[in-house]
Amino acid sequence: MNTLESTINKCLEELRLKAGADFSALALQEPRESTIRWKYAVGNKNERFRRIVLRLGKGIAGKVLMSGRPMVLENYEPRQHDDPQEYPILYAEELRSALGVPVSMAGRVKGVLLIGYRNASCIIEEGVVELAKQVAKEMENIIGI
Amino acid sequence: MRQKTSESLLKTIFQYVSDTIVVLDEKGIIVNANPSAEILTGYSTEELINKINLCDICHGMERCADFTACINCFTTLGSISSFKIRLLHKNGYIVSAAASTTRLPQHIGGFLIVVLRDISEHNKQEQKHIQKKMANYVIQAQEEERKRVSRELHDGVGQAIYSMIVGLNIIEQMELEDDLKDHFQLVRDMAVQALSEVRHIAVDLRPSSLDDWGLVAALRSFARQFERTYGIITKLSVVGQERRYKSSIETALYRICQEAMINAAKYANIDTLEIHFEDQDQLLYLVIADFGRGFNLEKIEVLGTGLGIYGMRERAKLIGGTFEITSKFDYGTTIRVYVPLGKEEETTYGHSCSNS
Repeated sequence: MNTLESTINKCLEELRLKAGADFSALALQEPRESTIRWKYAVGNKNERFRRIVLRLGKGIAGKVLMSGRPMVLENYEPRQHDDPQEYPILYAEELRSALGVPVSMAGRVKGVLLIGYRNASCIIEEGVVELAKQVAKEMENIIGI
Repeated sequence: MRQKTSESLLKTIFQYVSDTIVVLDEKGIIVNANPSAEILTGYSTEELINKINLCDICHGMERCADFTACINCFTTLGSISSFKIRLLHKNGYIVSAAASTTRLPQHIGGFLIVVLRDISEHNKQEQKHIQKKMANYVIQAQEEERKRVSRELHDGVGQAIYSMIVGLNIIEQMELEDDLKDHFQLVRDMAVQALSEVRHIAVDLRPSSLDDWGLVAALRSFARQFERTYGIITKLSVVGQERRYKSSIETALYRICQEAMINAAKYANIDTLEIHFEDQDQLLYLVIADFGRGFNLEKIEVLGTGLGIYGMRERAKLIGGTFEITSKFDYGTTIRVYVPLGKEEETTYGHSCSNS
């Protein structure tokens, strides 16, 4: 494991514990492409997240990246006629609630920081959103292109 | 002797014929009824004869498409060759019957002979038939619309954006300031992304590979895209000759496979999925299997609207196939579809779009 990866994972793990979450991950936009992939994760139950490729506007990462604003999903349940492509990370990691915040580099949104909960009754509190935003800023420095 | 024989024959017919024969006087009271009447109405002949007016148990009559009110009740009219009547059975439910009446001439009593035949079973079959036709219609209409919108997106909007990209590419060759060129580059990138998005939407709606290259090619493409969407690896195995089938068969099998795979992605919690497609000459065999969570087949309402199993089963039935699903907790779920290819099925090669 290289040092960048271990630094990011350490950061994610700290965030995960402070937020009382089950899962935390960082997605980054592919250079020269308009797709986003989950690059780093802690608390994952499988490696499915690594194979997910999101288009802009799709999934939590796609939506946050496109809008540049945080996104909260609470008590999510898959429904038969939902667009099934909407939140693949929730299916992959069996998350019921999630928060995604944008991670910017050089003024443009280049990544998404995610916190996820497997318990359906978990509500994303204001404090957690603020915490995530802080960590997102730290990420910008760590990755800093 | 001959007359006696024919008389006893007629009596036998009256006793044993499965059609109900009921004789009414001018007031509509039942003056005679054969044993079949007991089965149809639930009343014994003792309870019927001289005790019940047919109007008492009649719940409406219809001729052709109209309902006729009691004002011009058939019991007051002459012979009617065919109509439908609803009777209230003694046990409280409605029986539908096909009826015909014959008015005897006045000089031999003026009675009305009513012959009835239970068509409840017939009605049920008809309803099933209508439901099947409706399901077929809805599924076909949906596919037609998806095809149309997909084509419009690809050929219309898609083409327009492509032209924009070509136009913007030319800017690269021109003598312009760098910041102007950069700006155009940005716009061009946005157009490229928009085109990619339009193409994805068109493929999601209805993949052109299905029409152009057939079922197997379309499944291969879908499996690749599926992995990028859900991170689940699909193993696709194909056995038998690769050929084209009737458009309705290819579409149905594609949609069933699509639905099954997406269900597995949403509910099975799996890293891999297996699809097996076999062309056994006279039979097509499709299997979608996962070794994931599994579920209780009897409680599928728990997981949303029955996991679209009804839809998958209907699609299979509409192409003359059968649909099977088995599932066991922590063991996995398997879906099997069998489609027999009749001799009249045309297997074609190359482009086979029957509807443009």
